[in-house]
Amino acid sequence: MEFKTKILSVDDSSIIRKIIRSSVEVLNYSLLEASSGNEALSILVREHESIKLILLDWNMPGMNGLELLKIIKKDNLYRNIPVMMVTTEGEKENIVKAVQAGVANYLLKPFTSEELTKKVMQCVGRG
Amino acid sequence: MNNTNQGKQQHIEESDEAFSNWFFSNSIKEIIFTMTGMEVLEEKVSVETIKDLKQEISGVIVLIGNKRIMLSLSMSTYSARSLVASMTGLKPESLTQEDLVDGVAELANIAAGKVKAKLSSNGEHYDILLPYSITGDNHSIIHKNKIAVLIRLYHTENIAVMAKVCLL
Repeated sequence: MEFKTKILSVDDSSIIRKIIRSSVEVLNYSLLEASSGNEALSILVREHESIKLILLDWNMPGMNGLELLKIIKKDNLYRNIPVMMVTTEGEKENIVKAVQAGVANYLLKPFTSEELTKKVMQCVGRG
Repeated sequence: MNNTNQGKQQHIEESDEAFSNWFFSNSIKEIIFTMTGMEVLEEKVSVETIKDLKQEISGVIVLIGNKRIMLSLSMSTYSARSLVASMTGLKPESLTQEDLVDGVAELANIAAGKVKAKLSSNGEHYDILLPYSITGDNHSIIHKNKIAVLIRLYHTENIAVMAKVCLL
C-alpha cells in the first residue's frame, strides 16, 4: 500500500504508539513515531513537509508535550502543522493552556480506536 | 495546617465504599473496558486472601496533591499479555516482554488520569508523576505505613488484575 501523507505520534509509551498506528493506517496515513520531545524535533527537521498532523502526549520524560507544542508553534517551518493532544490530562486549566498554545484538537485517554480516527479525520481527513 | 486542608485530608483518607468506588474502583473498571473491551468483575479482597495471585508485572504511579497517593496494578504475565493484546489488537504471541511492561504501566497511567480528573471535579488538584513498572516472579509491593484505601481484584474468566491504592 502506498501512503500519501504522514502523521507523527509523540508518546513515551510504545503501546500507545502501536494503538495509534493501527488506527491511522486504516485512514491511509503512514505513522512516524517519537518517544520523546527531542526525538520528535529531529523527525520534524527531516520530515516536516510531509507531516500532516502531530499527535502529542503531555506527560513524557524530559520535555513535556506542552513545552514541545510551544516550540512547534514558534517555528515558522512547523507552526502550520496541526497538533492534537492525546493525553490523560483532562483538567480544564490544562486544556485551556493547550488551546492557548495552539492545539487543534484534544483526545483524552482512554480512547477507543473509533474516537481516535474520528478526531484525526476532523483534523486532516483521510490520507 | 488550616481547616480547609485538614478537611481535604480527612476526605481522601476515608475508606468507605462510596468514596473508593467513586474515585478509584469505577475509574479502573472504566479504563479496562475502554482500552480492552473487557468487562471485568470486581471483588473486594485483602492481601491475605489473594496471596496466591501471581504477580509478575506491576504498573505503578504516584499522584501528588494534598496527599501522596500510589496506585498499582499487578498481574501475571498471562493476564498482561491478554490485556495488552486487546488494547493493541495485536496477536498475544507477537507481544514482547517490553510491550507487556509498557502496556501495564500505561494502564496505570490512564487509571491515574481518570482518578485525577475525578479528584479535580471534587476541587482537589493532583499532579501525576511518570508511571514505572516492577517485574519479577511473585513480587510484592509493601507499603511502610500500611494504609491502603483500596485493594480490589478485577477479573474475567481468564485474567486477573489486582489494584492497590495506598497513601504514602
